[in-house]
Parts: sequence; C-alpha cells; structure tokens
Amino acid sequence: MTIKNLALALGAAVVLGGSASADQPVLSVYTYDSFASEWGPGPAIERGFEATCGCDLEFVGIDSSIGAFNRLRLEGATSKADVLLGLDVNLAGDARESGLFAPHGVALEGLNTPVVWDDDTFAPFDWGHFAFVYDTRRTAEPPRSFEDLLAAPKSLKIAIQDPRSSTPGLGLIMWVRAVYGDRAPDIWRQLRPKILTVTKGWWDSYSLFLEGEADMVLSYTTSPAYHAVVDGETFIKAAGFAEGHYLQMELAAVTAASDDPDLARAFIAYLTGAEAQSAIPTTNWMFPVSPDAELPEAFGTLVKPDKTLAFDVAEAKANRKAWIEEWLAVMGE
Amino acid sequence: MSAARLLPGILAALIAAGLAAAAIWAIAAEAGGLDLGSVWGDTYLHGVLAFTFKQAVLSTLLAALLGLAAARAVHRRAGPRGARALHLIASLALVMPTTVAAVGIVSVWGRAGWFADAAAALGLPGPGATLYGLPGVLLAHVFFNAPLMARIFHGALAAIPDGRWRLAAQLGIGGREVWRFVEWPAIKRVLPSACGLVFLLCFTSFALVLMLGGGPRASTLEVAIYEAARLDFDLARAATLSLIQLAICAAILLALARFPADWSHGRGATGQGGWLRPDCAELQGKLADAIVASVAIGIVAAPLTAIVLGGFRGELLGLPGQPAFRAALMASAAIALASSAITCVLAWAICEARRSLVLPSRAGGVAWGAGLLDLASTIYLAVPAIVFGLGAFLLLRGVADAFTLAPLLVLAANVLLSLPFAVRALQGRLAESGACHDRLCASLGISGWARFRLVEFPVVRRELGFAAALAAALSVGDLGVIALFGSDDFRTLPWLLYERSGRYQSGEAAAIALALLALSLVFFIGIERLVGGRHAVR
Amino acid sequence: MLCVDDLSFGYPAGPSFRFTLAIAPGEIVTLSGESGSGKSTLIDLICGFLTPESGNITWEGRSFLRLAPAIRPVSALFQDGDLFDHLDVEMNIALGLDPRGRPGAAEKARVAAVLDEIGLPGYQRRLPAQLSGGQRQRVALARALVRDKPLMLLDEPFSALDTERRGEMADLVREIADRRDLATLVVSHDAVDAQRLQSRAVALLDGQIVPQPAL
Repeated sequence: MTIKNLALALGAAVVLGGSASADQPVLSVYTYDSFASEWGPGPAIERGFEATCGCDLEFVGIDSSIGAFNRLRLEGATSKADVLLGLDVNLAGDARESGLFAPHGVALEGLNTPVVWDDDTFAPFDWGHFAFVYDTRRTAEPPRSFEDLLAAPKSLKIAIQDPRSSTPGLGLIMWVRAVYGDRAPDIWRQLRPKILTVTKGWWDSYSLFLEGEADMVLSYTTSPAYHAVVDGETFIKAAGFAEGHYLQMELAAVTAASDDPDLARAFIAYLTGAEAQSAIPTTNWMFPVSPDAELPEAFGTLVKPDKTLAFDVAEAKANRKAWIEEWLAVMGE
Repeated sequence: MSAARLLPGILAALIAAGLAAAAIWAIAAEAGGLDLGSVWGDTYLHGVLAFTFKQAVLSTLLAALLGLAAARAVHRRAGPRGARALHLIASLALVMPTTVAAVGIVSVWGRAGWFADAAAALGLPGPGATLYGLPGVLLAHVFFNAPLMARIFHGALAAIPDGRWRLAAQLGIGGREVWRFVEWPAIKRVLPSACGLVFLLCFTSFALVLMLGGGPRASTLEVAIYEAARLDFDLARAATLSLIQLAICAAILLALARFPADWSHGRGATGQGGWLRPDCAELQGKLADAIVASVAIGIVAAPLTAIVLGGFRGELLGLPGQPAFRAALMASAAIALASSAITCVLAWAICEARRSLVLPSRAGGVAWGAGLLDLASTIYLAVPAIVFGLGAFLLLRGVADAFTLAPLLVLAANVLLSLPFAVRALQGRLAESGACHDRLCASLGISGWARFRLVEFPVVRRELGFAAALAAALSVGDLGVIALFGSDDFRTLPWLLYERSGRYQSGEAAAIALALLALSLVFFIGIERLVGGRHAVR
Repeated sequence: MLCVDDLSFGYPAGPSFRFTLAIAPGEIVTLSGESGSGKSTLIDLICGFLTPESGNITWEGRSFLRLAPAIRPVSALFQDGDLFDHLDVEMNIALGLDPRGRPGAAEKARVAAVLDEIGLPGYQRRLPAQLSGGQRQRVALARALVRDKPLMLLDEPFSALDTERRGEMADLVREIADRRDLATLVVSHDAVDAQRLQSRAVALLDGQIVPQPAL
C-alpha cells in the first residue's frame, strides 16, 4: 500500500501537468495560494470564466504574491504564465520596471476603488483598508485614532507583522508614514512599548489576538465580516482611526510573455466584472471593485474610513527600502 | 579493501553537501556574483549576528541542562514505562510545526495563558508581556530541544552496565561522585554532537524567534536571508548571507568534529539499571527529581497538552470527509515513508564509510575525513528552505518544471533534514558492531547483503528503527520547501495547515495540527516497532 | 609450509616490527610476548587485515600477500568477538562454509560432523549466551575447522578457561592438528600450554621473533 501511495503522490503532479484537452487554449494564472485554494475565489472564477471563454483556466497557487512575482522574474520570457494576480501597490513599481507585463486594455473608469486608478498595466480586482482589530468583550474603549493609540495605557498590547516578510506589516510602515511623514521614527518609538510582538506572517499575529494575548492586531477592516458571516460572531470589530486608513489594493496584470494576450485581457475584464466580483467578498474577504457586485449584509456594518491613505506606485517604490530600514533602526534601539 | 565501503558513503555525503552548495551557487550565478562588500559593513547585520549567537548559545545550554536533569530523573525513577513516555514526547516535540508550538507555548505562558490565570486566581501579579523577548525564544527552543537532549542522554545513561551501578552502591559512592565517576563518562560521549545539532537548529530558527522574540531586535540571520531572497529579490545578498550562515555553521560543526557524533545506546543497554542507583533513595535526589519533573511539565508537557486540547476544540470530526485533507494525509504519509527509507540508506552508507575511516589500523589523517562526513551530512540544516527552493528552481529551469517535481523536491529536502539525526543515531552502534565483527567477517568472507542480513541488521536493528522512525516523523512535520512548491495538485499536511491558517480557518487549522501530531506519532511508534523489533521501545 | 619472510610493518608514530617464521604442516608453534609486543599485529598480517611494508608470506611457496582475507589459506580464531551472539551455533559454524548464510543440507551435515569432532553433538540450536566459555571456544574452533584451511591461527584460545578445560582444549587442538595435518600458530603466554601442545615455542622480543628455550 505504501509503495502505491508513493507512486500516486509522485505521479499525480506529473500527470496533472497535461490535464488540458488538446484543442482548448490554456490560460495560466499565477497567484497566491489562498486565492487559488478551494475556499478562495479561484474555483468560482474558474467555473464562471470557463463557461464562456472556450478555454482551460489554470490557477497556479504560489506561497505568496511576492513569490509568484519572483517566480515570473526567474522564468522571464519562458514563463507559461498569462496573468499575475495579487501584487499590491507597494510592489507594482518593481513589477513595472521588470518589463514583464503588458497593457491590459480594460476600461477602469467605472470601477469602484477608493482612489482614482487608471493604470494601463495593473488592474485592481479587490481592495481593503488596513485596520487594528479588537474584541469588544476585552476592549470596551478602543483607540479612535493613532493619537489615541499612542496615548493609550502601556497595558494595551498590539501584535503586528514584520514588513520584511508580510504585506500587512509593510502596509503599516506606509500607513504611519502617510499619517506622520518624517515624524514616523518618533511615532514608532512611542508605539514600541505597546507592541507585544512582531510576527513573520499575518496569521501568527492574528492567532495571538484570537487567543487573547494581544488586545489588538494589525489586519483589515473586513476581518469582522469573516467572523460575522462564518461564525455568526459580532464581537470582533475594527477600530476606525480618525487620521484615515491605509489602502491595500490587489492588482492583476497580463504578462508580456503570454502566448494568448487577447484571452488574458478577456480574463482581466471578466475578473473585474460583476459576476467574478460577487465571489470576492466572502471568499477573499476584501471589497469588490465592481459597483454591481453583491455585498453580503455584514459588509455594510464595517468601519468606513473617513479618509483613504495611499502612496502612489512611484512613491512606494522609491521609499520602501529606506522606510523599512528606518523602522528596523527604531525597533532595534 | 575499503573502497567498496567508503565510496557509497562518500557519495551520499557529497550528494547532501552538494545539494546545499548547488542551491547557493545557482542563486549566486543568477545574480552574477556575491555581495560581500555591502554585507560586511552592514551594522544592522552585526547586531543580528550577535543576537543569533547569543540566543543559540543560551538555548543550547538550557536545553542541555534541562535535558540532562530530566534524563537523570527518568532514569532514577521511571523505569521502562517512563523511558517510553520520554520517547514519545521527544518525537512529538521534534515534529511540531513552529507556529503550532508557538501557540501552545503562548497559551501556557502568555498574557492570557494558564500561568497568568493561575497567578490571577492566587492573587499574584501575572507574567504580563514578559514572554515576548529573549525569555520566549529560550522557552520555545527549550520546548523543542530539551526532550531530544533528554532522550539522547537517557540512552547514554541506560547504556551504563548494571554492574557499574552495583559497584557504585557497593563502594558507597553517592551523590556527586555518582555523576563524576559513572554518569559523566557516558554523557560525555554524546554531549558534543547533541549540542552541535541543537545549536544549529537554534541558530537557524526563524519564525519562532520572530514571533516570541518580540520583534526585529530578536531576529536571526535567517530573517535577513528571507527578506533578501523574497521581498527585495536581491539574489546576490541572499546568496552571500546564506554563505555566511553556512560558513559559521560549518565552522562550529568542524570544531565539534573531533568528538564522536554518536547517540546510540551502546551494548547491553537494558535501561533498567536505574533502580540500582545508589542516589535513588537520597532525599536530595528525590527533591531534585521533583523540581525537574515540575519544570519539565511546565515547559514541555503543558504546551503539548494545550495544543492537543486546542485540536479537540477544532473541527476534528469534519476532517476525514474532506478530499483535500485525505489527499494531504496520503501525500504526507507517502513522502514520510519514502524519506524514511532513503534517509536510512544514505545514513547507513555514511556511517559505513565513517567507520572504515576511523578503523584503528588507519593513521591519524582520517579523523578529519570522518569530520567532513559529519559536516556534509549535517550542513543542509544551515540552508534556509527558501534558498534551497530558489536554488532548485534555478537549477531545474529549462530542464523541468520545479512545480511538477515538487514531490521529489520535498522528498529531497526531508531526506536532507533527517540525515544528520539518522547518522547520529546509527553511528555508534554500527561502529561498535564493526569493531566487534570486522575481522571475523573479513576472514570468513561475509560481505554485502549477507553481512547486512546476518550481522549488522540484528545488531543495529534497534538504532535503525529509531533512525527510520525519526526520519518519518520529521518528514511529516516539515513545512519547508513545500511552502514554495505546494499547489492544488500536491499538498502535504503541514502545507494544508499553513494554507488553512492563512485565511481565518483557525478551527480547522487546530484540528489539522492535531491530526499531524497524531500521524507523526503513529509513524514514530509504528516504524520503531516494525524496524526495531519488539524490544525497540524500551 | 608457512613462511613469513622478513615481513616488516610499522604503525605511524608507533612501534615497528620485522617478522620471520616458518611452520610445517602438522607442527604447532606457540608464540608468547608481552602485551604490545606485536602478537596481534602478526596475526593481522597473516590474516590480511594489515598490509606489510615489505617482505612476503607464502604457503607451499606461493605468496598469498595479495589475497583478500577470506580466500587466504588461513583459518583464525580471534581473542574476542569470535561468535555472533545473535546467531545460533549451527549458523555460526555454517558461516565458515557459506558466507552468504544460506546453508543447505550438505553444509548442515558437515556442521553436525564437526560438532561431533569437537565434542558438542546436538548443540546446533543453542545461542552463544547459553554456552560455557569452554564450549564457546570449541564452537569457534569448529568454525575454523569446517573451512578446511591448511593453516590455523589461534589467538589466546585458552585465556578464558580454567586449568582443567585448558588442558582438554589443548589436547583437542593437538589431536586436530595431527589428524588434519594443520600448520598451527597459537598465541599463548603459558609455558604449560606450550608443553601440553607439544609445540615449538617462540617469543616476540623488540619487534622480532626469537626462539624460546623449552622449560
């Protein structure tokens, strides 16, 4: 039995490489694992697109969006990828510079995004705001602004992520910069005693929060929707900050190496359309970009930032490294 | 005469070290060179290095101390049943994914953990956030490594012949002298290799250090490599930092090379000599054992219990119905069994070569040869999974699709991960068997398969069982390369756990963690029994 | 005739030796010497575990210096580790006939015969741990005998035995050497053994073999 299983496990991947039928074009989409996974948006989008495209849509889930981008960089012109899903604004600059992407040709004017976005290469497919999430049963009076957070008693502990390994972690660096500009190092110095710990990934800190270790965790304004929809629990809330919230927008792009760019562009159009977008909220737990997408009720109760903070692609690219180093210097003092 | 016995082992060691080196070389080649200059002057890196060393040294020290105390206590009091429990705990701790372990540790020692609850109930001040920082890192590393140390040390103590204890009792040797004259000589044999390996594991620790270390003040070289390879995609820097990590680890391993790398239990180990110990009845001994038992329970058993309880709270019953879970279970099982078998073959070849290198008839010059073999079989531990994955990807590019070959890459990584443990488990007994039987076998012409079947296997069976079981259990728990190459087509249990915990699926994640522990436990006990024979688990 | 002809060997940073010795078929030579005088080195050289720097070893005029230990015309009984503890008496002896360890009926018959010859009939199924020291030595001797080699090396074969058993064992060795016309080298400290074996006594002194006058 053991030998057979091994053969199955080893053989499965080899066989699956050629699962497409010969006469259909294959559209290969690189993305992060949870997007492609069975409870992510992948399956619904695959079904929907394949119903009309006459093609075989193949999601390739990679450990992270950065990992997917790096893989594309390594494969270069030989890559079989037609579309890359999941880069955010912070990495779009590097992505543009790599020359690996081609215009998507989709009209973005009608899309519902918190900032004006008319990039011809990177099309947004969902967005969310970073926020500190708390549990109303433990924290009755959450901070209502960064100033509140800085002034909060030392016993209020937050868990955040390392910007070197996590996109929300990087988002917080940008958020503090967007609010405080050059005062950022000083703000980090004040924030430091409240930081319970910095984790490698989002889940590590989120689970610390769920265990009751941290009072607040850096996550998204949409996190409470998950608990409301799936668990029917309403005591997890996001704290609305008066200074505004930093935006994370996830982007899709057609690769320059794609052997069927028309099909790839058609996919981007489908992805940003109402049908695919209706799957986003309860599978990827982000806001859809299509104004026609259905939103579950729970999304209506979420914190709506008064102000959206965002650096543009060029600013983010120019400063990312320096700002991480600045943060490292303060945290290491 | 020894070419046939040397070559396979040297080949195996070359493969192990070669894969590690090739991965870094491929990255450096892609980057067009190394980046020594900027790395050298990086003051942030200096701080990282200093902390990495500090926590690794302290972790190793504490793990060795607690492991030693626990081994003595078990040897003194617990008999075969206690030794068995020690086996199980050691194997569980070894295979635990770091995130799972961290959650377990936090639920005992954290701000809202059991300890804090107990303190609050007694009206005492709780631990607050003191866990996050060096204490947390040390606690986690001791959690992982003390059981391993304890198991090795207990093996060494159990190998002391009963006659030695009778003699000690007769002569009225007690307390400190028992340690000095009876135990220390046995412990001394296994100490350097055990410490070397644990140091390496702590030196390259990453997610645990970040999570419980409180932040970048407590980051290791491994984080810097991760950042360079992944976020910055600075391949030259990634390759350079990997080389530095490799060089430091190699230097430490070579420094330890003149000591035997040997954990096996020795001839005539009965594990039952404990009751003969003259210090068994001393009040001091009883007191010390009670203290050790409570410390060990706090540090190792309590977090384990927390993890198991968390798993039962999770959606355990729904798991077997999920096709993804069943596929992951099968894949993990298949990979673990294959990895176990291949690891044992390679480890055997290396030990065989090593023992013919250190034959008494050979001159001094070969001791370093044996050291090199140990180094080669261990050095993969210093290569971050992301570097191995990236390197494999680059090497395979143009030849084959790394993702299609993911099962093979995961298998290779698991074999390399288990190899140092297996080599250390087999080495001593195999060398002993060689010393006993080499001349007789040569003069009778017993060689090859016949020698394995008739002579070595019956003699080394128990240790082979341990090595095979350990390799399988380690493979079940490893989330290294699979994190880079996992896909819908190929998932292992740790990867499924990682995926589920990536998007709020906490109940399922806890249940998968428990399933993973159960699987590794079943493998550990089953394989040790099957290969090691009825008496394998004492 | 065994001829050890000016065989030289030196350990790195250790003592060095020059051996010259001849033993005729049917003759027993006893070799004595202090520990470290080179007795085991000589045995190892003849068996093929060590390679000499110069000199030669011949049997009936043919050098066997280049042969692997198992195919030299030599059967040896080592001081320790002479039996496989986990194998029964039959298998221990049968390994002398079939090193692959799959003895057939013919081999088993020969094992039974040799067990008769050494006075342990019917002991096939015993494990070494169930034997006395003297019986273990006999089993080891039996294995040396089934190999039918013309030259027998015995490294301190009597050391673990009491006086009475020593005598019996020595008589057995003498009897077998006569019956089978074996050239036999016995390492032993005991002059009484040498006498009872009716042997020629030599000693190792300063790395060389010198004649030992009879008592």
